[in-house]
Amino acid sequence: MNSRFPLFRKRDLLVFLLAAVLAGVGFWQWIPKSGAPVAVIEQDGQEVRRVELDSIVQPETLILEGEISVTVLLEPGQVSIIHSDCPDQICVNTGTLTRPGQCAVCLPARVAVRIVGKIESGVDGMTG
Amino acid sequence: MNKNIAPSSIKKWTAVAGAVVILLAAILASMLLYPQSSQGYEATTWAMGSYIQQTLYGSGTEEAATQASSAVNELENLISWRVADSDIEKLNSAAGADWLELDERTINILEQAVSVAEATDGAYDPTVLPISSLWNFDSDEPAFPGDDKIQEFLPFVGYEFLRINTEDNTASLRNHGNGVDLGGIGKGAACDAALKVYKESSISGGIIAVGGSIGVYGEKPDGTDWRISVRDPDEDTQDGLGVLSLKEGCVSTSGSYEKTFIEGDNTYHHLLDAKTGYPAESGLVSVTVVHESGAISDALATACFILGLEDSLPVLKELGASALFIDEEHHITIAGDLEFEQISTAYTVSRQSL
Amino acid sequence: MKSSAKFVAFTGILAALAVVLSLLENLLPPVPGMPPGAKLGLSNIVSMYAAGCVGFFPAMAVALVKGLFAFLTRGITAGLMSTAGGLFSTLIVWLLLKKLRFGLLGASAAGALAHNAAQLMIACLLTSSAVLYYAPILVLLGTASGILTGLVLGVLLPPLEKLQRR
Repeated sequence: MNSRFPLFRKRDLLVFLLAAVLAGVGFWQWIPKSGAPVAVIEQDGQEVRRVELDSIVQPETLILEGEISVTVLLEPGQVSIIHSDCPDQICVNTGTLTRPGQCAVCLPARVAVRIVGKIESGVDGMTG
Repeated sequence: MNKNIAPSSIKKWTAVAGAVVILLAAILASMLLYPQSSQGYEATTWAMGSYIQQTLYGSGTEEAATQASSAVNELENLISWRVADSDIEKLNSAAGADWLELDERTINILEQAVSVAEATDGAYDPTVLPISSLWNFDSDEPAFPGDDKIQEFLPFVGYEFLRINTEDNTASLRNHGNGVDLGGIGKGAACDAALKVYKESSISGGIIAVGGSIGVYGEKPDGTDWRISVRDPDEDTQDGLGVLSLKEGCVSTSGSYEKTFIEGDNTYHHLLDAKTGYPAESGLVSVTVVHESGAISDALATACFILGLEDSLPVLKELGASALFIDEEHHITIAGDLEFEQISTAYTVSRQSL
Repeated sequence: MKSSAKFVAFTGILAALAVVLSLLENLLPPVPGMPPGAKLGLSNIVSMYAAGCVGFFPAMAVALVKGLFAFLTRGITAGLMSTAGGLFSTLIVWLLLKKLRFGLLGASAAGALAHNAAQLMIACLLTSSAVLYYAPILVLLGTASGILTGLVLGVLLPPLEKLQRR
């Protein structure tokens, strides 16, 4: 009782090898080591970019276009909003973010930059 | 010709074993690298003029987060005076005319607002719209409206002009020119709406931050209390000056550093004393209030800022709240039973029983 | 040899079967921790059978019908993802199974991987590159589900092929 299609042939291993390689590469590249601080940049509720702070080698700017444009600066170990067309400039004045839990938000532009990861001080939120 | 490696049943079992191993590896990797259950499900959204962050634990977190977001959006469409056709916008338009039937949620918030107004003798007053719209802190270029204008519109402010009938869910503003602005209670009310969703969901615990108002429910996976840091009004630092520990309830803060503008020699902040029409000057820089109800904590934070430390104490006691006051001399006073861990050494701390 | 009317009807039945299986799959509650959209791949059994024993175009037709069904019931995003995933994976399976003479396990695993890859590309184009985050897990899950699909086919094919010859 055999089908004309064999269950397994040696060349099938090629597929499994490819899968193993893809998974391996994927895990090393894309998944941050748990706990490493990651900067998350959101516009209009959508995640635009997610970067591991430790992996930034040289400063990079990210411009979020819109009715109100916002410029985010990514530097090794820190992220900040350096420019915004908004009237109150609260986001720019927030300064640089370096630790998980910190965030800079531009309300008029609906842009939020925050750092996620294990918060050392174990704080769940900030009021004020 | 088939190139078989081994008899077919061994091959099949090897394949099954292989699949199981890979599946287990995937689950393990998934748990380690996407630690959703221990780090919580995070969701962010925009509403009530604020950035809203939720972190939920347990099962059904994505669903609960989405439902909570909808609840907050619905609430905004009911209580924001700026939203066309909202309950409050309709109420304001009908001032001096009929009683209107409003959504139960709106009535409930109006009730809570009035109870704080009564307890604080009008320091917090939901009917402050005639004055708050003059100052218009949320616009691109706020400006000092002038003493004349303030005196002209001040008489229209008064919570006694707002009548509420809880039996048939109707409300009315007595005179044309009266107006309700729930800006000082909205974020706290949003927290309440979310907490209600959490309670009815299957999550084990969750925290929501609507701007600076925070609501907590249930427990974190590690069973420790919720830790909320208090912002240091000092501009140069992003860290909190200390951490409050909460098991449940809501926290709101009103600070003069939040929305300000400078004109000439003066700095004007947004916490308006409803009795004078001007930004309150009570020697305080910020007040953080903890209460079971988010709406009340939000309204009280504003009220206590305006009343100042001394006059706030009996109010806090009456409404069952606790608070943390930061004054212009870098001194923190904790009123009531609050677990507070000081972090910044730039402040002195003292306690006050209620 | 089937008459062409029987042929079309048979393809239709296969398509319906594929749709029913995908319906059943979607009823299962999502497992916490797994990326949304991670599936068992039950309907791939039908696609593979079609690719291997019926023909290239019928198999593609089945994939299209599945995609159409996803569009009608779950919206345009789901429709695009299912169609892209289905077409690409059916192509790969047909290629590996019929032309390159791979075994059922390999072809099936490759098909599952292809399905996930195409879906991930569409999701990435439609939303943001953040979804690529899930790629490694999907590779593992796809391989596992591919192996299982292949095994099921290994059991089902012999009797089915006998039926076909009649």
